[in-house]
Amino acid sequence: MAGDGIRGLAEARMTLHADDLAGLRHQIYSCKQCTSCREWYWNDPHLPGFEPGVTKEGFVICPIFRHTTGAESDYARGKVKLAQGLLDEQIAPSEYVVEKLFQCAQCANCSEHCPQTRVEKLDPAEVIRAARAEVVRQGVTLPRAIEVPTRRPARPRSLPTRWISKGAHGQTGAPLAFFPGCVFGHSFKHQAVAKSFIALLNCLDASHQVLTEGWCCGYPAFAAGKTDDATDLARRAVERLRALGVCTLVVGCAWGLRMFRREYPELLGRALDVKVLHAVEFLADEVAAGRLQLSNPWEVTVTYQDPCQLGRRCGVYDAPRELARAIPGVTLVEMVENRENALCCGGGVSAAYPDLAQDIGATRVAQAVEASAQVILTACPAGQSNLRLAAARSGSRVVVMDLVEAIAAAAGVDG
Amino acid sequence: MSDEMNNTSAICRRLKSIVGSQYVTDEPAELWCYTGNLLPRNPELVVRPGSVEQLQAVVEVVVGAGLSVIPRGLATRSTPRRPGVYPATEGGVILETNRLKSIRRIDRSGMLVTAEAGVTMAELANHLAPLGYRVIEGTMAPFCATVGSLTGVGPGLRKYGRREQQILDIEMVLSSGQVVHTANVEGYDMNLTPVLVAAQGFECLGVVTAVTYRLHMLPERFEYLNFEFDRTTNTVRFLLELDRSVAVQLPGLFQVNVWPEAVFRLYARMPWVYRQSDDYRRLLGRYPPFPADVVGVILEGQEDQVVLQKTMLEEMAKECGGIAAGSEPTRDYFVNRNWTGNTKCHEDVSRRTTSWAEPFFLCAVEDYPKAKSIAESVAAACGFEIGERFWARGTLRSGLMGYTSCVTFDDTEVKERERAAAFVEKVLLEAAAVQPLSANTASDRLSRDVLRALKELLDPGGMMYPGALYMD
Repeated sequence: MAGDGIRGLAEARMTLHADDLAGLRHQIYSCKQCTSCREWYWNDPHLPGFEPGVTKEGFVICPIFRHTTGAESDYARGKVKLAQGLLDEQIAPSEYVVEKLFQCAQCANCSEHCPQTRVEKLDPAEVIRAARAEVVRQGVTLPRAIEVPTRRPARPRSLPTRWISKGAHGQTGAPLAFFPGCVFGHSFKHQAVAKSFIALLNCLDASHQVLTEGWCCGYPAFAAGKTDDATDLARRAVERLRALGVCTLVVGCAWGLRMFRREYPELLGRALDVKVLHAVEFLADEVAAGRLQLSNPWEVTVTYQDPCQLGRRCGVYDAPRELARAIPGVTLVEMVENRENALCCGGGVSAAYPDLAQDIGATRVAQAVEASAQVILTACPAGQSNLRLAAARSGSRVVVMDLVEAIAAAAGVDG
Repeated sequence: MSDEMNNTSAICRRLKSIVGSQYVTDEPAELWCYTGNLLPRNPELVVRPGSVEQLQAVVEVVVGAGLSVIPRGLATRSTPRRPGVYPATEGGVILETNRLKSIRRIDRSGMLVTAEAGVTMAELANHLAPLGYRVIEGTMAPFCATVGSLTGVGPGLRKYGRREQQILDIEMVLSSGQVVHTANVEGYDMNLTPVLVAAQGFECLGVVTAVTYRLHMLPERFEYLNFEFDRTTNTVRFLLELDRSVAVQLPGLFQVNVWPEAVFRLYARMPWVYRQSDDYRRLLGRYPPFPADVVGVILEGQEDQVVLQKTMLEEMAKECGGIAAGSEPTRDYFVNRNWTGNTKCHEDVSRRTTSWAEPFFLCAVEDYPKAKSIAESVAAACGFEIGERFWARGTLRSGLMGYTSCVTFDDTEVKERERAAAFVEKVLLEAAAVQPLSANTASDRLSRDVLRALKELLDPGGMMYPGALYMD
């Protein structure tokens, strides 16, 4: 079964943080050119679990490859080759190379399926990111559509606190803190998710503080290869967390979780003395412990879109599903590609390549429809945004919502 | 602008008019992606036609412009010994066939299937399985390789006979643009298919566009068994027992592979091959000392038949001093059998090697220890380090063992080529001395001569994959 045996890309973590593409020479050259990063078939007669007479579809691993012309550089093998070319100075960081390196959603489906990941520590998505860092270091001007979303704000923008209901600021110095992040904090259309979570915290009577200072977690810069910027943002964030007395940090965004939980320790060279949870993990614990009651039924068939950064990068697959099943009346169905094999929603390229992102999202929406889902639940604002747009453009009636909102509704709290 | 650039640009425009602009590229960075990992040689263009008619037109334009054609499938390098995939010389046009995705026909009465070259083996298998059929591509063929690429893969398979009995026709486009069918080469009234199947090198004759396979019924169950023997004498006992006394009782016996100790020295540095199996983690943890041989057996057939035969084999192996060592081939086993120049056993090796020389001979099963000894000693004498640049495998056939040893070498160095050639020659001569039937230097030379003669006949201008076939 695809993904079997390479369980937990998150577990097979290697320290890459390649400011230095040269540091990945061994990994780059260990690419076996096997095309596991391109396509995979489940029902292979030669593999365990083969079921004669049963058709299981193959699937294309790389969402970019699925929606482009299928050239070599449209998927990880070719992009790793580009990285090799930059490393060995065989190719220049031309506009074409930049486009191909940034036409990658960083979904890590390639890394999940790469047979070299565990032993040779080849993580193709990280190699691509390192190649981006190389391009940045060489001072190449990135196209505006790529550069602007990754531009570091001059100073943090405080979140507009008017939408945080009275009393919900919580208590300064409370050890539990909610970090809405830039999207939930600043984007009007996503604020409902943050409001819902805060409402749930209030419902739980959990002493908490909401971090409204508005600093960026650093993921956009990190993904773009601007490692220095990401490191600086990490340092500032950790300093503020310490100053605010935070012991447990809950984030609402999958990108934010990856940064705080996985990347900050690597970037800063030390473990964080803060426990980091995604909102769905926090809520799943509360529901399991009986502290949060979900009593409002919702008769609907839902499916769950595994955010790439939450699933493949952080290994969180079960908590959101447990939460969804805990809502009375909900039937949870799985899309054909799920968990470790989840197809990217396209959110990772939505800023720079919106049309491509929409094509990818449309495929995912179609899979949800095929699974007979009426609602797609997710736990990532980029995913939610892109899937909503894709559903609207394709005329699908599938509703896309954040799992936190669904939980808040089930708990009968208003955001 | 130079004439050369003008020419390439003009050719590019013409090709775009044939296949569509998005399927032709002369972008330097993209061309780089199509070069070899080790000694990159840059093509002029990459073209990806979507039909045989487009492919013919492309070949006519390219060859007409004096450029060579380099056929390419998915370039997984999953079929060792094949020169295909990367340019062997600078320049030329890479012609990818992986847009040829049609399964043209399934003939149930004739038990045939014709698939275009870009269909992967997994796609074909998945298409046929619901109908209750399969093709015999050899379990060494990975799911991801394309039909067009795998026509060059050997070995014989016990249950279904030789590879040449599985492939009935190969459709190829020659450098003249002509489409030929190897089962009946027009104007020559001959069937070239048995000559070319498993020949490794016929992509120097033309571009494969479709293959016709014999269909077989799909077994109800597959079972993969691995047995570990710490002494080669025990391995031989088991193989003899398997071959002589049990074969007739094991109609499901599909394939038997023997992986000698030397291979596992190599694999010890590449634990991904068996890392998913707990048994193999244990096995690898014992290095050194290392087990002598691992015998892999594949059974297939009816459910109860396979279960029974599995039990019989396990008992037999135990009586011969072996132990069961895992029963699951992992995905990685199939994906990672690309122990060619991209093998990452040692960085220097992987950076230097681009080719491999692989003498193959038949010997009696009882002669397997001698075969192993010959191959290892000749490799050592020629300076090929065991475990680094040498590997070997045996395949049990009816009454005989097919023994394959292989050394990797840098084919850009004349002395390396001479060393590899010497290795091949010496292995075959010494093997012939042991067992008169075994080494077939004569036929090996004959097959080379036949291939060269075909090359001169079908590609007189030498436009198909120049440099990949040693003509001297």
